[in-house]
Amino acid sequence: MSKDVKSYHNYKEDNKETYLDVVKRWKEHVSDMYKNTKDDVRIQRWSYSNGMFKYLNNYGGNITDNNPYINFIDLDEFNLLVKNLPLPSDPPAFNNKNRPNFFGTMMDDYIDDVAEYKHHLHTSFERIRREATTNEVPKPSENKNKDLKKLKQDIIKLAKEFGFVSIGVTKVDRRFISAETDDEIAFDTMIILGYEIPKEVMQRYPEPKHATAAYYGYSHCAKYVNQVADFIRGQGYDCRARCWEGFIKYPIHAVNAGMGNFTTYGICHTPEVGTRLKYTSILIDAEIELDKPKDFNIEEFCSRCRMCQKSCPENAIPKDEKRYMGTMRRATDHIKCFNSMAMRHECVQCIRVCPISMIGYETVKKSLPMYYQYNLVRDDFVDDKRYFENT
Amino acid sequence: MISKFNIMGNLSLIGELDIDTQLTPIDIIRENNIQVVLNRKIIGVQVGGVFGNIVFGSKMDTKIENMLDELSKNYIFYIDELFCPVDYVRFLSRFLIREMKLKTKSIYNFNEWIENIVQGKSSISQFNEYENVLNNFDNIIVLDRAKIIILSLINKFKDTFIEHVEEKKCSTGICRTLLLAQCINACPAEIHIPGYVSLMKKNDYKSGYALMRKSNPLSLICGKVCARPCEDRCRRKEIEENVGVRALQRYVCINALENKNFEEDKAKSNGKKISIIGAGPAGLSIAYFLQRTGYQIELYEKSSKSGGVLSHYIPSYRLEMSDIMEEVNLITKLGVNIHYNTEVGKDISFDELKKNSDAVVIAVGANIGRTIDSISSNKNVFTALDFLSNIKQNNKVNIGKRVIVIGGGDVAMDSARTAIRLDDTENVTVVSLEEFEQMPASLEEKKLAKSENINFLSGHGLDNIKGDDKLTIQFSKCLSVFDLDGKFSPILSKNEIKTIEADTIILAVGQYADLGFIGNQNIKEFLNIEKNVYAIGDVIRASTAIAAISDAKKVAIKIDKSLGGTGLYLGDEIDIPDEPLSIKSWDYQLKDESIREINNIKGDFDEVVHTYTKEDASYEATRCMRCDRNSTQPLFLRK
Repeated sequence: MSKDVKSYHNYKEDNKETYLDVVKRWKEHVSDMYKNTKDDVRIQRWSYSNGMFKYLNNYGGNITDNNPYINFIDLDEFNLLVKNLPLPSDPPAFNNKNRPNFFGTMMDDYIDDVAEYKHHLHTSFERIRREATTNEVPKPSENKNKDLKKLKQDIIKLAKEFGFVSIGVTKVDRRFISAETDDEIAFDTMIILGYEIPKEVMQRYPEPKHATAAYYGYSHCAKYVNQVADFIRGQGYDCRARCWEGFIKYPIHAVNAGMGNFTTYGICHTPEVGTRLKYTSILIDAEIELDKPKDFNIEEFCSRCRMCQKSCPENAIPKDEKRYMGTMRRATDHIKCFNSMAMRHECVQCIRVCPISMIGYETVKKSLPMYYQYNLVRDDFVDDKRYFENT
Repeated sequence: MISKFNIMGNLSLIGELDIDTQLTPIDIIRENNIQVVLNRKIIGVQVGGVFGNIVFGSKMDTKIENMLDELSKNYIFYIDELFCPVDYVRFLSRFLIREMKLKTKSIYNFNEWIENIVQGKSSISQFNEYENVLNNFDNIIVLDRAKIIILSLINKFKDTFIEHVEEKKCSTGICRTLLLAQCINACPAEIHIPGYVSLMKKNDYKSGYALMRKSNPLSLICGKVCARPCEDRCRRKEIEENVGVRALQRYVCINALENKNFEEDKAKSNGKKISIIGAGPAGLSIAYFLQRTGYQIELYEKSSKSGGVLSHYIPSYRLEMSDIMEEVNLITKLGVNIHYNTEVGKDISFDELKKNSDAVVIAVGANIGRTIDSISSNKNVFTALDFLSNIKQNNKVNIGKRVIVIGGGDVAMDSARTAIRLDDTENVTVVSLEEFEQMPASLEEKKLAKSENINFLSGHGLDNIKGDDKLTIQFSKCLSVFDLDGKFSPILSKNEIKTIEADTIILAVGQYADLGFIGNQNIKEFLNIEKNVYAIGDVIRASTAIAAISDAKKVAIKIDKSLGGTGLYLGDEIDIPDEPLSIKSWDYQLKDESIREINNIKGDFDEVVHTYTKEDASYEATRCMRCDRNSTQPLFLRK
């Protein structure tokens, strides 16, 4: 439950506070919040639990603000807009139970082991909700693995064994999580895990057989994310698994975690599998080392490809970047996109025609001028302080 | 000293390698047997990382050790021919800002200066401010180094920078903000290739053909014999394999012309007359563009047929006379008068032409084969042009049983493949200075020649000839053809000699123009003096048919402008469809045109290559990435 839920309005008749009492208590509360948050990373949000505002630490904000691969034009404009219009949860289409059951019937019709898929999705989702909203969380082991470097390596190794191909660590930027999820973000360090959707599954499109792309990713995220979380608890650290749904905007966090760069259609391209993956994450109560943002020259490649934009059956991907909320971006039209996803077995045309996702990053990177690869070894130059000395 | 270096470049071997720093960059390539992708030449090298020494040409002949300094990192980056210095400078400006985090005003000014060039917004005066722009840099080591690199690139490649600024063109096709698609940019005539491919997909062959004719009135011919520079720069080729662009062109043209009812309109006559000398690719094309715009064209051809090099030299197994006539007829249908068997300088004087016309265009091509002085007097030595034209005119040529063709270009391939088709020949050997892969002839011609059992003695140069009837020829090993600066200067080794006996030698070592009618003056000087006289095609510089056609359009625009015209008339605008690309775009592999099986090659001069079937064409068209639909918006740079 939210830490800031207090009984401002549940007063009892016999213990009625005066108006001035309430004002005083609220002032104290704000001053507490102020003390408990840091000046340089503090953000102000509306609280869904008490209807007043709240202050939160937003450690990820700095990372996003200083990430050269995120196209901010005007940070003030962006912050103002996000403050007044925090991200909603899911678009109505996902929540409306009255819509035709495209995805349910699609799963039944096209997925071989549909029962297993649904089992993982449901049990894992239930557990994540329970751990996020109640106190029913497994206790971490008493033996703490003190070597945080080793801990990170071990987590990555295990996650890779489960089939997570792209893994990165960053801080949560609360401007990019759905407002009502705020209270569920127990810790600020986030391990992002990307589960690969096999090429074979993609190649069967436009008519999927045996499995559908997105649900393959979701169900495997569901199957393994709690196992990774349990491993972390075994190492002595508290953590919360997060689900694969849209409450946390993963692409921007993945770019912050150096897992890749933005694509033409606005999500994160990883060198491992392009966009042929689904993200989930774990929030961990340990200061493990963060990964740095990195330029993989994906923007350069995409600017010479744009197959996704030209093949989108709904024209949902715009040709040019536009100014949007203080940033320059190619914002996919989600209404058009959803329509296509619903009517074309999840569609996935944009991934299916993407050379990075389907042919591979190693091949496509050779198609660019070779000096771009200096970007990949930037640390060799940036870390040499002698370069910055005066002559 | 041996240490680990990271090798970068478009090379067959990249990544970490143990390098002896006593060696030069070129030694490293040789010793490790490293090939450059697509046999491009190495033109320069950068040693020490992004802020390291960058050198070109003969300066590459320096020990690695001497190129390193205390700030060098272990990178050696090889620069090949496909290098755009402008894009490198743009990259560097972004690297300084985004990676090195040097966010001062002077760096942003520099970034703006180069972005303006890359986006075609600069002017010569703005470009010339580069010294001011660079001198404003702060005095820190990294910027000093960047400055040295940028200045050396500007000095070495000034023409390229100026081409970007003045013509708004990037000839390598790397600055994508200046071009529609790499293939269009690589085509000298700038044919809208993705356009006709997509019209073809909709079975609209006539519109596809009409679209090609806006840039190239000899599209059917080019669909069969073009050297296809477009396919080399196909974006898809850089990722997978190219699209069979020429094969699709051929398919579209054949279908558009199938019922002989292709119609073309033209602008109203403007009463002006233009004379053109030579009915080759250049002459025919310029005749088409100007006649369609309203001029009256008189075309003078000294032989009895149109086509120039196409009809006189290109063997009929590659291109049949009927194909040439198909497109020549479309041009004469517009009203062009072709005067056959009329040689300027003999049947009509050049001065008379000049007097009677508003402009004269010299498009006589290059029709005299070069020889090698030491052997030209031998009666068993022919030039390739003489040989090929004699065969095309069905003249009997006695070349004996054993034939040697000297040369490595397409004319050499034509000569060899023609020779093997003659009854008497038993074996034909092509001797070239270049190794087989580096020979300038097109890969397709080389492959077909090999499949027709032609022998190759690659990497050898002529040493001497003995004998009169039966020739004994000695060739010595060619160690290198070009020097590090890219100049032609073959180095032959006397130590490795190969001896071949032969009855005939065919020389395919280049050709030049017969300019008797203007008293054999230097054509460029001649044009400087004469008003309203223009020259196009091989007569200016030997090149391909498609380059001649592109010349024709450019000069046609120039002539029209100087005679007070309002621009060429090229017909109505053609809408290019932009439907969603197929979800299976990457599933298909390149499908080459099929090759006719030849049972008995002797006397078989029929066409060798089959045109695509409808299924093949539609399959191949699906592979086009439609780069023309991409945004040319520059990449955003966060301030």
